[in-house]
Amino acid sequence: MKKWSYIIACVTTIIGGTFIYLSKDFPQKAGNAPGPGLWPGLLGAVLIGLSLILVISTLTTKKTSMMENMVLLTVPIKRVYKLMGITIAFTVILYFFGFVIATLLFIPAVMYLLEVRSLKYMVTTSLLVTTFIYVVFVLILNIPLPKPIFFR
Amino acid sequence: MENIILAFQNVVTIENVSLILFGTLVGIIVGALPGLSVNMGIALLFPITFAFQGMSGILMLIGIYCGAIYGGSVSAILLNTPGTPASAATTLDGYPMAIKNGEPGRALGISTFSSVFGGLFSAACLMIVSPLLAKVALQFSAPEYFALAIFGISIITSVSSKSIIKGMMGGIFGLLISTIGIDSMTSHLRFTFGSIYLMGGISFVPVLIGLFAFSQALLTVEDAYGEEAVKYNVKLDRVFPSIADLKRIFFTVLRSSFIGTFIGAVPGTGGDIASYISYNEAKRWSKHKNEFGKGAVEGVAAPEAGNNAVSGGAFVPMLTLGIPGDGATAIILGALMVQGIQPGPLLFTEHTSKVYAIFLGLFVANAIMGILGFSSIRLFVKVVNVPKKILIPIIFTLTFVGAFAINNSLIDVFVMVFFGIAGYFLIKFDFSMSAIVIGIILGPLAESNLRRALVMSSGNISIFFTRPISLFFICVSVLSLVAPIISAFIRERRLEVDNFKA
Repeated sequence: MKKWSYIIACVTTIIGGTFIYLSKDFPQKAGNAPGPGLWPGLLGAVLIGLSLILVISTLTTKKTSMMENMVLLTVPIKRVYKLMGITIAFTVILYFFGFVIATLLFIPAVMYLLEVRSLKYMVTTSLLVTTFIYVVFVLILNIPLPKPIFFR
Repeated sequence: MENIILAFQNVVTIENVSLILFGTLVGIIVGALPGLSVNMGIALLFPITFAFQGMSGILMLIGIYCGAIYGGSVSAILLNTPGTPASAATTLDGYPMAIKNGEPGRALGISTFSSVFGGLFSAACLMIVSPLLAKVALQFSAPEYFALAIFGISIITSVSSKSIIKGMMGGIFGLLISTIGIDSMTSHLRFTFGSIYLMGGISFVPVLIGLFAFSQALLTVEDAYGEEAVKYNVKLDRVFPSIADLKRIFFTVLRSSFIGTFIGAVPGTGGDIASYISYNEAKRWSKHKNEFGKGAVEGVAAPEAGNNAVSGGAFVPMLTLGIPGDGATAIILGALMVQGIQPGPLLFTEHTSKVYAIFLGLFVANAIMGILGFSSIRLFVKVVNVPKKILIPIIFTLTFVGAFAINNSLIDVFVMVFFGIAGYFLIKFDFSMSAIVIGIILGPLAESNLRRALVMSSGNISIFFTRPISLFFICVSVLSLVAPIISAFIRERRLEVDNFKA
């Protein structure tokens, strides 16, 4: 079973095709220079060519690489998906409530996912890390951090 | 000489030396922690460079780069787990010397000495070789620059990925990403879909943090599943190598430093290749071959001198040609570009003092690395005990802070998360993150010079094949891409024949 290589080839063909399709409406010439569509169109074509080579090499190779046997629903990977969900939720909370509140919630959430169950440990780490980053970035380096939507 | 004095005045200030010290310290800690890479360390601290003017931020990144390569040896020696891939060869003799022979201090001392020697040697080579190479590169015109960019991308994609086709695909992804935004030659909008954010192109730093730090942190979460936290308590007796050890390893360290510098100068290679070749050569030339694998001093010294010597070597193509030698120098190149400095031959004529500041920064970073190594190694040994359950949320928080800090834009944070998640799957499917990043960096150089060259030749593509330097780079690019495919094909056929005979 070499499904992943075929899926990769399909996805890259779609990406290459999209760039060619979108580039066709760009001006072909700019004075006597090639227009802005030449390079992305060329790259799109090369990407499709590489997808074809990937399909051919997958068909002709007897050996199956480790990647082909990969399962994307194992318990450790499912934990990564949960973490991805937490990070997406964090970006949304960051937008509405700013860095301090979002980080105070984010760190314990990640620690809980990593099987930390001590509330004291989670709260202390969260407070220390948030304070440290705030002091270093905002107070020492003058680098602003996201503010709550009602303070913007 | 005037430039050296000027650079000395710029680099040797309290602020800059403190920043190099901070960078090197962070680098050693990042390197010592298994699961955190050199690239991750540099990517995470990249946004801090914006807080400093001139070369200060760049000098800090140089400190992280040097420190992280060295830091990898701490966990390689004490845990038999390389902190970075560059230290994988150090485990072969470092771990037996430290644990089986009960000499952790001796192993760490030899590693520190060899790392510092390798780093200083390569910095000296960089200082001698790069101005000469830059003089040659000054004669380049648009066709040569285009061929050079293609050479840089092809050679990196050919060695940085498990699959050469996917390496090339990664490079093309990077090049395509770099086309998004306003076309620099015609001001035409490309692939912006009416978005004001995309008009300026996809910001390089969030992509970098996403691909090098966020995705790596996701992989660390996956790898850490079910892992029990084990505390390592190692007592160090002495950390300075003895005179007898120094005498025994001197030529090994010198040879490995030369190998590391040379390998580092070839784009796409890196510390892992340099350390293994240095280790093999040390074994080949050693009078104590039977000690290798059991804690040979040369077996610790060679890979450490080799991998640290890569640092100076990797700066040679980056500074003289604008082609990054590896992922880490790609990030530093990006940092220079953000500061408005375009690496390449013109850098040596237009910003000479800045070039010499980088040279000097490498010397200072390696010297500080030695001082920290010998004075604080007991502290770094404790670093390997920091639990991942604390480390991982901190890394994620820093990726968000870093992505936001560049333009104070939450869109950059979303972009970083998107590329981080995409990067996680791409790594799982054997794509190379370095190839994508280098594609993004070299994209504008390749495109603008392709179009300029076609204007010069009135649209005739033979211009790339009739000019000797351009033809040379194109031939090497094709060779670098085709050679691994042919050699893999021959190997497979041979294996089939052998199996048939058996």
